Amino acid sequence: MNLYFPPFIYSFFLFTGTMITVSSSSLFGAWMGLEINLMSFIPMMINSENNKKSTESAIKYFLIQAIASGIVIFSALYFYFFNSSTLSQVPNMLITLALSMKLGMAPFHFWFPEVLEGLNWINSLILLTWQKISPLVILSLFFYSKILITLALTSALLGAISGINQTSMRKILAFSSISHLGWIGGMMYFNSSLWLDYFMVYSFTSFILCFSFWMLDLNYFSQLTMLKNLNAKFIIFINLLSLGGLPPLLGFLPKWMAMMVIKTSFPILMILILSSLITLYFYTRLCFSTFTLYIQSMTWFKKENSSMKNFFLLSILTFFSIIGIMPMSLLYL
Amino acid sequence: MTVLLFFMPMFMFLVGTWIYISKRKHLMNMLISLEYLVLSIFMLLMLVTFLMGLETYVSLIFLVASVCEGSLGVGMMVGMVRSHGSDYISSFNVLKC
Repeated sequence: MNLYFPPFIYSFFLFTGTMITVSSSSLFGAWMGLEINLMSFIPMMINSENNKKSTESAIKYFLIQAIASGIVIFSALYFYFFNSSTLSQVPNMLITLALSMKLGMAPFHFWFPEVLEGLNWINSLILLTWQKISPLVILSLFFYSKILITLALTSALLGAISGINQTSMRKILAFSSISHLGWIGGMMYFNSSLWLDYFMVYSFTSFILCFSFWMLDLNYFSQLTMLKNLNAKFIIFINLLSLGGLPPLLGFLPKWMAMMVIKTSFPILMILILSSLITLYFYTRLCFSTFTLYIQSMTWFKKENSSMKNFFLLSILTFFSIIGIMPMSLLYL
Repeated sequence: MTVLLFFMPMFMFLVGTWIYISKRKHLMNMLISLEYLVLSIFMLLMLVTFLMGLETYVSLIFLVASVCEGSLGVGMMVGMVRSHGSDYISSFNVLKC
């Protein structure tokens, strides 16, 4: 574990950009916050070393986000022109498409796993959670509902289906994030502000996952089957199933709230729940093969590899993930 | 006349987007077309501020932000030349899905 993190100064600008976006009273200020967010996250991605993976993911992220924020400010300016004509919904449609491109919702999701693959775990966590706040807030104010629900259902299905064959942990987290964005878009379609609670619980769950992957030095699925510590496997899989939304765990709570919101429309709810079942299927498959396959123990493994670093902290976080649904659901009674 | 004026930045933006997504051999091409997109948005912003009678200092803030973005792109192009050896987009092959 190395807490030395050189581009720490940029995290201040990252925070400032999101705060500018969520508190601005005009779309120009929101665009400004998006730009500050982008321009402070790029140096964090390159991260004081200049290798192929970080450069590639930074350039891909930059190209996508730059064109998307260009479309955002473009459609924001066309609000002035189209406000009293038959085309008055066109800027809303454009801004919905551009913000879903910034978020990585389904037809525009191809950059998201590739960018996430080239980052370390801290930046993966930032890209999965913090970078989504400002586009989601603007999207909740300016969405065009038909396009939004189409994108939401598509991203729920596509995130679930294309996550099936993945072996990289970052790509599994990326596709799971895409399908969670489907749920968030589905809640937004019903004008509910509960998507913020969904997003917060999702952020907590993916924080635990990224943190435990970082502590255990896990990047690929094959490393997971070779873990010698059974407690580490339990920690990883309780949190993975919680991210997928298995009922007694914490990750089921936001899906429960989403079901209560969406229950007026049966087909949307059915598509979302079925896609979530696909997600749970491949988590359970990973879990099954990890716990039942023969554990290879190489003789050249060092002795101290079997003891876990930060076991206490990870256990407490996993404990929150197990029983967290009980006090949290009392809050929403 | 004003309707024609509204649709001209839209035309410029569409042309810039077309160049951005189709001519992508070099990273430099993409960055230049991104600057062209910024110029079309700047023209639209000036039209809005003149027609609505607003203040024009917003365009200065816009120019500062977009120039920052363009220089960040050029800086990343330098980083790409240092790590990949060229600025071909097709040399991005480490992170394929």
